[in-house]
Amino acid sequence: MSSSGGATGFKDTGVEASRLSNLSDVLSFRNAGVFYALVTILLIFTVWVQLIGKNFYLGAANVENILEQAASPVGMMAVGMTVLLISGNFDLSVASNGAFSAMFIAVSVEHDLFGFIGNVEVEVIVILIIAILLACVGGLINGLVHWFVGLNSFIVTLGTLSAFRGMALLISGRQSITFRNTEHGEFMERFIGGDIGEFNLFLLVGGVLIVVAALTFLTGRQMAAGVCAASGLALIVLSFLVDYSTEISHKLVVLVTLVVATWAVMTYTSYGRRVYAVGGNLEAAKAAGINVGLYRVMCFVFLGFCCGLAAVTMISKLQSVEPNLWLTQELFVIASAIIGGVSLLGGAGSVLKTMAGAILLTVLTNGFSFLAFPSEVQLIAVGLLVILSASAYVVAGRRAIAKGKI
Amino acid sequence: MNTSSTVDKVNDTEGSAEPILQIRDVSKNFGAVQALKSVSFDVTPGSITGLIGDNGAGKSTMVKIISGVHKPSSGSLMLEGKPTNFSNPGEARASNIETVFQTLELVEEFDVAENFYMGRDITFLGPLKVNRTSLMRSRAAEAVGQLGINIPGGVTRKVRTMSGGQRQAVAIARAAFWNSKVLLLDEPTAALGVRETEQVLQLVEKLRDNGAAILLISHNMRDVQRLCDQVVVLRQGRRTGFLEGEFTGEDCVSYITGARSDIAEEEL
Ligand SMILES: Nc1ncnc2c1ncn2[C@@H]1O[C@H](COP(=O)(O)OP(=O)(O)OP(=O)(O)O)[C@@H](O)[C@H]1O
Ligand SMILES: [Mg+2]
Repeated sequence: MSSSGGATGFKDTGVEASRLSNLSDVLSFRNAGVFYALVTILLIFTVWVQLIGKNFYLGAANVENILEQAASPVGMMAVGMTVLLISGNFDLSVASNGAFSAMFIAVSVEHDLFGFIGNVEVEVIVILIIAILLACVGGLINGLVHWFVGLNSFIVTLGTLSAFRGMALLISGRQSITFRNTEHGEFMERFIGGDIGEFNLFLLVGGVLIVVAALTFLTGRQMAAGVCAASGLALIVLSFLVDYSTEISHKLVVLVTLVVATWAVMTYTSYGRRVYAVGGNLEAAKAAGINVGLYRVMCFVFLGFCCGLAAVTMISKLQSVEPNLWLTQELFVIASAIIGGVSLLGGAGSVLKTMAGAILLTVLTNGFSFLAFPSEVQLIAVGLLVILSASAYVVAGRRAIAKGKI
Repeated sequence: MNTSSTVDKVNDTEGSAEPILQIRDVSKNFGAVQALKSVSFDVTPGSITGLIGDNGAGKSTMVKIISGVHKPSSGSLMLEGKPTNFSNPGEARASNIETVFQTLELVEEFDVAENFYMGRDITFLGPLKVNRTSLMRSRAAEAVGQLGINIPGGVTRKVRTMSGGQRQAVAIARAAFWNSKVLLLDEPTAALGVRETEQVLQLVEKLRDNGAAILLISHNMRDVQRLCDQVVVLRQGRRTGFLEGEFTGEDCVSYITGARSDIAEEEL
């Protein structure tokens, strides 16, 4: 690349050595703990279920269940929550914001608010787009109040948690609304609520990995790209040997696209790195000429967008809403991020790890149902998991400091 | 330019060079606190201007005004003869003014290269702005090698894992990296050991010889005396002294403490 003599010695020793330590960092508990935890829990359930003589836990049918449950509103909101936490902020109003958006869809269909358009398909698409925009506006309100009034985001969103919920109740008249078997409902189901077909899971995951590898290679991280591409290819080869097919729903496709795109933007683009900078050290980001206000507010808007997506994908499938939709679900959204190791102080975290956290929560619920544990036990287990995982990160961090790695 | 300039620190040809940055009657108040009162001085290419004074004298405030963090309450800045009015630090940087703040302003979760390029990544694919990470890393590594700054672990080491002195070295390397015309250094050697301080001082001399206009803030009078071609002394926000040519550390101290002053005591 360059022929300057003085620097080459430095480059060879410095960058090579740190590349090796990067690999061990990548595999360290601090960094990859949530993936280890996920694999461990899957193994425990598999053995446990085998021991009591039920069906194979990781059979295609149950994996399909787990994926369906993971592609939940919690999963989608957790993507936006991760980005917001990285930017150094917090949002308690996500479930209320999403619920308002969902309620808007239901009310619009029930009262035929967009009937003047005269074409069911166009009407549905318009309704869904407005629903997403409304959720974005909800995020925008949070962001603007936080930034321009200078109010702590915890307090702002504590207020909007209640206000958005109140607005959802207001527009629905405190009624449950069902629009199953309406023209609009049927198109929604076909458009985004249903399945896209049966796919070999190994082939699908392998394909996603190849895309990730290509992105990684483009930015010049050959080693990471190599590892990614190799595992992707291995899975694709495996897919010809093992038929591991599950039904893939639209919302799963939406979630996977959202996760991969968000992760790529956060990791590989200037936009994403600026979000990390703003959350990592606001003053430094300012001094570096970054428009910190814009980035902070846009992260709220992006989380709003994720809430809107959650509303659109869920309601298209459920086709009914109740006033208490997703009440207290914001806690599981935040729990996913914490289990995934996102720092509440900002500047650190990864969407992929948050997703692993969300899947971990799903597997826990799913596994306990499989074993016919009562739901109160599940709640206690989720609570313990949040505390346990957060403690594990703290302890692992201290041990890394003690070993001189930090 | 000459390279052994430590000895002849008064350089007549440089003394006659056009100032690149002119500060005129700059005042700044934070509410009731008057941090700066009508301060004027020049910064010239290829020379080092010292800015000294006791704690709270207003030195960092001046740096923040020049670098666009604060707006002056009154007064003006002229860059290359043109009046400038930066509304944020990005504009100052775009005008080739680079700053090492007293608080360093590094992102701990970023590695050295990411801190170098924070806010001005090299990207491709147009508006998608995908970072050319390895290009930025190799450029940063190359620059660090050429600057002779020792950062153990290389440019992919996270700042979080570094000592105070190492962080300071990173902040200085970042400012030097961009080959700016004006360099503002707010106590760049405050946390450094003897050897590292010497390295930084030599680096500052090297940058001066390359033609940079440098404003150096320091509490170490020996360093000031060795490096600076002229010195502006601030006391309670006023410019109370100006030294150039042959001056000693004692001269600086007497102005700082107020034993000597160009301004009558009752005017302060
Ligand atoms: N953002 C601010 N808000 C209010 N007052 C400020 C602010 N920044 C500085 N000051 C005040 O302005 C005065 C000058 O501060 P400044 O930081 O410029 O001092 P300094 O000369 O850099 O001191 P030191 O040697 O301790 O770094 C002080 O009285 C300080 O309290
Ligand atoms: Mg200061």
